[in-house]
Amino acid sequence: MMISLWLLLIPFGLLVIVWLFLSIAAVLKMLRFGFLSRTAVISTFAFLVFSIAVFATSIISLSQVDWSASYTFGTPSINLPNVNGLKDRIPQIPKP
Amino acid sequence: MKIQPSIPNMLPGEKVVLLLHRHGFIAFRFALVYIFFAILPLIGWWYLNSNTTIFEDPTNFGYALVALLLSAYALVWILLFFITWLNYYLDVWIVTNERIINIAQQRLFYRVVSEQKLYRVQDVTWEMKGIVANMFRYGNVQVQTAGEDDRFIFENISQPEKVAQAIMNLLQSIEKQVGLDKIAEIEGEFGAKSAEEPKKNNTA
Repeated sequence: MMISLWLLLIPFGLLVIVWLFLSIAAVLKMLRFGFLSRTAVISTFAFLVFSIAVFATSIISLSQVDWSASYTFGTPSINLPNVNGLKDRIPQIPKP
Repeated sequence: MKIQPSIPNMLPGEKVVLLLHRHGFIAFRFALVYIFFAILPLIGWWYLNSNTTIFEDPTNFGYALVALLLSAYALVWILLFFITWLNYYLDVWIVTNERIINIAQQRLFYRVVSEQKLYRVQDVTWEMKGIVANMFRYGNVQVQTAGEDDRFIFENISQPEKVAQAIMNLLQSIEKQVGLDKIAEIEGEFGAKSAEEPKKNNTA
């Protein structure tokens, strides 16, 4: 089975979309109900900074991958030419 | 114990006396769990690095898969950590000179706000249970209000004995200020409603 590597980016992209939605909701909730205290602002700021750091690290490591490559999984089927009838002389394993 | 200048939906002349969160040790406990889950991928990375050649060639499939999984793990970890912190930090009990407000942030989209007039408080009980709670001086304060089966419970707050004392002091000052007759009169007016549930607002 051939698989294109960029297909792996689809679930990751979906995860990032869900992540963005929940992050925005969480940040808004913290700023709305956290009484705008110093702790609320600092923790929200720390979350944003660490998130950006994680994104930057991910992009750096993922950018080294050749996403246009394809990979084969399982046993590949090989179609060899029947040169000099050699293919007919391969001993066949009797089927049970 | 923190004192904040204002709260949402503040009544005219209302003043915040206590704004309470759970004790810091409770936050430390869940932080330990998250630290453990932060170390796990590092162990996995170390294992793969020492036993395989995945990280030597960034163009192979294994590298792509591991990089994607680690990125996803890190994103989910940081988001869950922040949401757990938010649930901890937004669990608040506020005592003003007029009422007690219980704000429970159950989940990210589930918030319950209950409030009760201070003059309806009948008794206040505090407890410190367990060795750790006694070491770090945190515990529960139960506030029983008139005609209610349910109690307001301030869970795992710092120095519960001082909080209970502060509430009792507030009650005494209200009794002196308003007078017991006036309180009885107010309770008489609302006598029919005395058995009702505390006012609750659910907001997402």
